[in-house]
Amino acid sequence: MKIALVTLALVRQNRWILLMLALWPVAMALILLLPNGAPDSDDVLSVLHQECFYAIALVSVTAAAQLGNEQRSRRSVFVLARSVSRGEYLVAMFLSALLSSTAFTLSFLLCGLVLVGESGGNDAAVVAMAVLQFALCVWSAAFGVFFSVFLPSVLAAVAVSLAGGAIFLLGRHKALFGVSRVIPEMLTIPLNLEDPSARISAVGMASIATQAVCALLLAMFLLNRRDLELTDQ
Amino acid sequence: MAAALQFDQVTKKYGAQTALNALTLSVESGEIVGFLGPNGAGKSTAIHLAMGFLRPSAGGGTILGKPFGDAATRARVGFLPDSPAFFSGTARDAIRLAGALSGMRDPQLRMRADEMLRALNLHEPHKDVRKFSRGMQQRAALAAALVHDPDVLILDEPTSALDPTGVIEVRELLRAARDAGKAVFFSSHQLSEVEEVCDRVAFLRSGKLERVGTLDELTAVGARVEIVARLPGDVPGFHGEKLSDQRVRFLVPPSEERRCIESIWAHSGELLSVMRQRRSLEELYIESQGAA
Repeated sequence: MKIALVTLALVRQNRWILLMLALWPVAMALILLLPNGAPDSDDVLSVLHQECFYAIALVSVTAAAQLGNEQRSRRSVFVLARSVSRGEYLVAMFLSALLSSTAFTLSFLLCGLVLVGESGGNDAAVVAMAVLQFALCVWSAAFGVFFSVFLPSVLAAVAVSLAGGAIFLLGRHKALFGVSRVIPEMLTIPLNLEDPSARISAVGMASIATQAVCALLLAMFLLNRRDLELTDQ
Repeated sequence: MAAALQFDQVTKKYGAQTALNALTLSVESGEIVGFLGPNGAGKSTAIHLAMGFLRPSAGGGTILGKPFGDAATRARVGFLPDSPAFFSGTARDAIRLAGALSGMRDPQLRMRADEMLRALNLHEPHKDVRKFSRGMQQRAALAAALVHDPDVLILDEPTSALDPTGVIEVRELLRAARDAGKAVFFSSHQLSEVEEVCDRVAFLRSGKLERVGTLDELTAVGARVEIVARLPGDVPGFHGEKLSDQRVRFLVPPSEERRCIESIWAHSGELLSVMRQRRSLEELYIESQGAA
């Protein structure tokens, strides 16, 4: 309950940015649809792939910036002066970052379905992309929160992309790591995909969930041993 | 019975700098303890340690018998920061969120929030609390600190931004809290405020507890007795300031009062007045500041 209250307060705090970002896929869909109504399938695929990366970038930046922002604004004092543990606070930050990406992913899904319908592709392609995109957002949100515990916001966001890139490169051949499976799966989905489950690897998803949980637990462990950064010190 | 708030040899270091040095201090239920000291003396550090925002470098402490930083215990603690911050929303939203995060639920939460809005004169129900004046924000933060009827109140400069009416209202709230058996610990630069409401005062200087005690105890240290007498000559052993009409004024420590009076009588003097002069809290404060 307390986690939900803090999550909602954080989402409410950033509601206008969230709304604008959720409208991004709508704007892109309108740009593709308005000239002649039937967009080229290559253009649609390219836009959808770009949007997948926007979602990941969005959630990485949001998650990485939150702890720093909340401490600078001293809203963290408002929350942590109540009966809320630091662990609960971090989970709320993770969830609020994830909620913002969920809004983007839902917008992506709806607009993608329209675009794919107009360009003659299969809905399954968009559904698969949305699921994989969301999985990567979960990973990015968890690692964004993790890095924000000991790095400034910008560096934490950079660290998320470096960590993602490193895991992707290291695990490319063995495919043991979630991110290294999910990124190529997401980027090679054709618009005529018929079965989304063919592209959604259970091992990849389980690996992503495990990594996210580990990152959050480690973030809680570290934050519990640190001082809050209060501006008057 | 354990103290409501207990600092036990708490030290906080930032690198080589010691912000708080082996602070030992307790606040009992049903008392108000004022925490005084110049800027940078370590008052806010001590408060942040008690709230669990900072981790001590050495030592520790308890609130209501639980170690500093225990989240469940904070449901029984009301905290007012020196610079209040809020999420977007009205004062009512902020007070309700604070109550809910301390475990309160409707309808009790709704009733208490309304009660707090009235008690602290927060009349603008639709205005974003972040757009309030500094004084009104402080009122809102105080309402958020009190909404769950905490057993321990920790307040960092509770009246720093308030107008005189607000100061009086806060004073009444603190007294009411003490009378209801709560422990109140607050830092302040407003000495009149501390003198008015505190049962005990603690002086901090450069991170070290300089002195602590009741106002009577503290102001009695270094007190003098002013004795004015009409004397035909000198009184051996006592140096007096000659006024007029053979009047002489002696300033002696309380332990010498009786001997001085007896000496005056022994030398055919007439005692005109005896007045105890206590040191003011302001003098004690300035002394701390000067030493720092």
